[in-house]
Amino acid sequence: MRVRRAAAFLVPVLALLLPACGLTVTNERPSYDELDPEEQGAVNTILAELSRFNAQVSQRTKYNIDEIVDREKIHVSFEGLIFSANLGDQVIHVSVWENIGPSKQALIQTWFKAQTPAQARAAYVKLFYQFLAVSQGVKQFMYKVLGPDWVYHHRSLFNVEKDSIRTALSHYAAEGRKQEMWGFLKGVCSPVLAQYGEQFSSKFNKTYLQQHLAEIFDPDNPTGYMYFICRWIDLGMLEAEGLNGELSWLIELPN
Amino acid sequence: MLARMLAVIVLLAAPLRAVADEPGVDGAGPDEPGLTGSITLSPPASTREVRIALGFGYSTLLVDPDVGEGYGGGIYLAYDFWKRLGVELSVFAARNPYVGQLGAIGTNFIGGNITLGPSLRLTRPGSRFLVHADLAIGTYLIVPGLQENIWTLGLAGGLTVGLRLTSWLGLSLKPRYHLFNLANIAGPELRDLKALMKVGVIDRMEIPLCLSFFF
Repeated sequence: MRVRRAAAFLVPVLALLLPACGLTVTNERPSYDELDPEEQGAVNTILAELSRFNAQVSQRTKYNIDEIVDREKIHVSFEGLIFSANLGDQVIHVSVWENIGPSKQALIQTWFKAQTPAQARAAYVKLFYQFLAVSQGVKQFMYKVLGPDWVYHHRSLFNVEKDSIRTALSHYAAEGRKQEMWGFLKGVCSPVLAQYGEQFSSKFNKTYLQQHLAEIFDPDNPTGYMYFICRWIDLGMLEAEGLNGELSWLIELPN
Repeated sequence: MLARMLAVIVLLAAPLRAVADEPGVDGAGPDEPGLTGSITLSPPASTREVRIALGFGYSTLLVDPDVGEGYGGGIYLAYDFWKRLGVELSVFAARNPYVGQLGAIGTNFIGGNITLGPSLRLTRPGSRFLVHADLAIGTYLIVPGLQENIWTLGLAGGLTVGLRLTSWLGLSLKPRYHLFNLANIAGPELRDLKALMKVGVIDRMEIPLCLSFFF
């Protein structure tokens, strides 16, 4: 009887205690005020670029991306990963150089064939905090106009990335910064395309990306993603229309 | 949340009532004498039994505000080999949708497990009522959206509460509580989809309804 009484007592107690342990599969992001100075600096740079793109969007369409032009929506605090993404949950994720660790910093130096870590950092900061941040802002525009659900169900990741990068290129052209940004992108992508073309050129297609997403985007070694970005940039420079055309095309896409 | 906890309490407490209501043998003997009395009995050799159960039902990560209630299914193979002791092998997979802002992504938290461990029959052998308690250890698969698949170490514990409908067929509920991601076995360390940070121990509760076959 004692065993049964003990069980009768323990089962409800356990049932109450176990859910209270806080065993979750998602973590909370720190607020802007809790970030390191380097992280806050990255947020400020990204936010400035997104604000400028948001102004372009507001001027040219009835839409805006106000929801991510917010320092609490720029997520940079994670460590040990090379990552830049907008998954559709109204947050822009961008890795901060200081958080990615020495081995990944060395990998980036190899990508860009930079002579020094400082040069690699400068290239990374401009590419990730400015250009790719704007491309994530373009994705936000897509999510806003088309809805994340529609984008996920009707568009391939390959095309979403390609269109985001092409529209980001058009944004810089529309802002009168074409020479600055396009020239910089050609400079950083030239060694990437030369070094990794043999490995990835045959894989640069929609199907391969869909089937090998974790391999290409692997945030521990996204060399494949870097190659794909540079190919999309190459294509974007060839195919870019004016920003008005890019934005209106996205708005009309479901039709 | 309160409703979930109440559901867990009700379902976990159910086997205690089932034991108390045990009707006994042919109405002649005393009612089920309870756990203490039961385990002192010397069951005949015929208590050896193989059970195969197919289950499908409710699954939840209990407290994660970003992951909603879902469902899962699996198969359970059990063998009672000595007195009331047995072993049980289970294979189960569950799908829980992300909710809130993460829900807009339309993706799910998908996890599964292959576990093995001892089970203890709490009701009298031959009874129509089935109550088993089991513990298990095993490998737990996590299928994250942005990473390679991950295998981790995990533990489980639960109850089987059911009714034997015929000599070979039964129906049962099988509430089980899991703790996994205790240690990495294969694949990268799990990062969460929201903050991209390393994830600690995760828990999951499932309550499948099972169709059992006895051999």
